Amino acid sequence: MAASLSLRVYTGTNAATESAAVTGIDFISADNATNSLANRQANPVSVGTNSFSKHLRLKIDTAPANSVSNFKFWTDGTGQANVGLRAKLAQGTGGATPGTGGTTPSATALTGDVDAYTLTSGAKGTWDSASYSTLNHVTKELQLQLQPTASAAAGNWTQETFNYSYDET
Amino acid sequence: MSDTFEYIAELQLNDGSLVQVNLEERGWAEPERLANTRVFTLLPKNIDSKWPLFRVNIPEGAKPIFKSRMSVGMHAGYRLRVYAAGWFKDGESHWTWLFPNGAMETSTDDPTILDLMTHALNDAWRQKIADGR
Repeated sequence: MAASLSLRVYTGTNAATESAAVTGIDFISADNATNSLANRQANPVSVGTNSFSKHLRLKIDTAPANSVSNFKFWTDGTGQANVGLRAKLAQGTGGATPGTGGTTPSATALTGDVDAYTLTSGAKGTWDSASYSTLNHVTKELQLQLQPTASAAAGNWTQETFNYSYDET
Repeated sequence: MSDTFEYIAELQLNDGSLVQVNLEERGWAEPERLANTRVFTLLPKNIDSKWPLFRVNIPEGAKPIFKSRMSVGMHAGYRLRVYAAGWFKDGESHWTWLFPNGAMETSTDDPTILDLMTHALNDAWRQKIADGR
């Protein structure tokens, strides 16, 4: 069988608490891995403040024949006016779950980050350049944070398309 | 989408013998066997699918190479696996990418056809949201 990888959210101190597999993420004013309308309604992000950073890793649920590698991340390149989306790739170290070198999620602005909207299909970001082959091993972290300015319009943020890919041998 | 590969491989060795390998099985890429491969063929498991049959004649001194690439849309929910095969020689890989609609793209490590397909999948999802479906 081919490898199977799932997306996990890491919360708590040093982002060491691994969630179950998720198919989506919320940008909210709290540190949790829930992805639901109720969660977003209960934890809105005020304009002029940042969401809690979201710390993501890919986890190997079924091991490959050889390895998985070349992890990339990209967006559709366009966002909502006055709502920034920032990314910090290849953070910490991958390996045995939950990985190491994670930082505690917070609403403090990320540093050393990039505009996630510059990571497009023609200029994909490198989530992790390492290769992995062991069941339950995880990649390095991808950190994301929503940063609505004081001029941002209140209301729902347009649901974004985030994409990732990896190679398997 | 299935988590099993759409292809098996057939290796024609220098002595003329044919070996079929399961690309999902650890150990299929035995270095000595690959070094003795002169023709590498990818056979679709489902002959009724549009996955193309692919065959490459391996240049002298080269070895066949194979990988798959999984693209995933978070929220959009698509999972798309495509395949690449070719040969490696003198530190350089020569890839041909294979797509589920029968398309192929060569001479790149970042196929633009795949980008077109993921764009289309994301657009379809956005339209579905807009239609309230």
